[in-house]
Amino acid sequence: MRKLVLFFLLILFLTSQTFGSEWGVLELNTEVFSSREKSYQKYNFLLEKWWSESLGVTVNLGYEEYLKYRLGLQTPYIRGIYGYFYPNLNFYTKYLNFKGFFFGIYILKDEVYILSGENLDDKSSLKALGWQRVFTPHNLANFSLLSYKESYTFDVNLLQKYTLPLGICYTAEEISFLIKNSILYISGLIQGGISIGNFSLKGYLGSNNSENYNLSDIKPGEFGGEISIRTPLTVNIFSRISAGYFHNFNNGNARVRLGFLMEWNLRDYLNIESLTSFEYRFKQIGEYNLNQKIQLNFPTMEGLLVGSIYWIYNLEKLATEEIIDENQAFGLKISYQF
Amino acid sequence: MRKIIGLILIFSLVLILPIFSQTSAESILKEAGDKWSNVKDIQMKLSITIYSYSSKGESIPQKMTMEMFYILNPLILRINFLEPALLSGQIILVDSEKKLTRVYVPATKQIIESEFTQTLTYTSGLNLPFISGKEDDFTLELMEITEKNEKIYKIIGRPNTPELKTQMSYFEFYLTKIDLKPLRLKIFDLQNRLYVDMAWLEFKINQNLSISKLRTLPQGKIIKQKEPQTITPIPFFSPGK
Repeated sequence: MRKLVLFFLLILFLTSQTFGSEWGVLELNTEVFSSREKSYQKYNFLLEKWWSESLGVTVNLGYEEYLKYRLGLQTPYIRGIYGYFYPNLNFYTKYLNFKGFFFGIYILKDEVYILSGENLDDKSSLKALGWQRVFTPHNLANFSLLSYKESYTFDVNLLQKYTLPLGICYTAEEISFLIKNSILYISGLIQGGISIGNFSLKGYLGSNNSENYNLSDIKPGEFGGEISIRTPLTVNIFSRISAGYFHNFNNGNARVRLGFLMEWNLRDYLNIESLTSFEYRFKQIGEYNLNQKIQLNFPTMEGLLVGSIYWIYNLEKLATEEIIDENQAFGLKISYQF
Repeated sequence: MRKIIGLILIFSLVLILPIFSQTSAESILKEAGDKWSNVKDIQMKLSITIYSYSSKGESIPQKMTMEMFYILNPLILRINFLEPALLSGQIILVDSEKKLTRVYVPATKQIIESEFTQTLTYTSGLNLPFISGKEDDFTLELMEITEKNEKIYKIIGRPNTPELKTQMSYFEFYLTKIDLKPLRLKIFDLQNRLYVDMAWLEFKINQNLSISKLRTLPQGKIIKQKEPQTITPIPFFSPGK
């Protein structure tokens, strides 16, 4: 083990001078969380140092009813993650609350990787084997085979990205083949985005079959999409507005999702962020979910150290006026960049 | 972005460079240069409009407005972009003491940090914004006009060298008579059409600008560029003719 660590350190040392950009952050975060059933305090420590996009280490330690940890290493030859993390392998595993490991090896323009562990939400075992290829600097593809809950998926993700003056443009296509009880189900998604200067426009449209996992923005059985626009309101106020509509053809349910983000650089020493998301379900009039976050940031030491205070409120309400979930959190975060 | 920094630095020099001492236009510019080179700091708001022309001769203006905060010793320059909307909120910091340049990009909340190696050298040439050349390269003409009850110097410069003659027909530089504050610079293309129009909307000196305050950018992820940055062509500054 010691030799392995020394080997990694040697790679870091030898290659750290050869890359274009670097950044590092040391972050301490504590949060008091209170719901109708329970209250507790969370702690989190994050150390992240990147010498380039292809060379970096991350260490994350947290306590949230139980100890959580994450170790990450990225080199030009291998990368690995161990602990608690969100793999985000594709659109359909975006919200996979995972414990396990990821390990990938780069061979020329290809990466072969393995992911193994369990979904913490339902304690189900999950394994994936994948292959990622950079065809050209503008065209990337990811293929993965995934087994989960006695069903199997083959996912294909294609990404095209282009650099524009003051921005980028990308499109991505994802298709997922699910085999369950010897029946084939297909899900698909297209997404794209363009950003130039302070403007950006992003969106996705897709369909998730009813047998697929409930791990994406599109719930099983739904067809729908979301679009978001980011634009400056004034020189110091920036906003992002998003709107989405999803229709479930299996049960006729529909829902809309609206989001509003505002960032206000009140002073260089004080920034305010407000994020509101609201989801309304048409099946039962009056059923909705509301999430609000307000954060104050206090940059100091010429921007190297930022102290943040935030408040999060979440309300899940049923049509019967019965509130089924309500929780709030206050948090304090200190991050130092080096 | 470096192109913008370069332009800003060049036209900032007009305030601190002693130039010309023979003709009356030259003596005015020298006096202005002497005056502004002895201040502690300068704070200004200015707009730059670049005109391009369609085949029918219709002008297409593209305007950029910014605030500039300038400390002379150590040389610290901060530019807050106000318009166009594509760049609004973007901040450029040039710090000669720390030898770095920082660019705050609000869209990505990133602060791109790179080494600043360019040194500011004081030359005896003509250092007006968008114009470079030796003192012999231009023939200067001085006029005195009155606008809104304010007496104004108008200096017209016509290029003498073949190279400059292919770039512009002449420029006009306006500054107040009473305190020699810059007001406007206009550059005309070969067809005598307005090409660049720069206006100083505010001009303040010795505001006791704080170095630490200028260096403090809004919250953002600081990314250090160790290799020369790829210069992204900015449509705003594409040739307008």
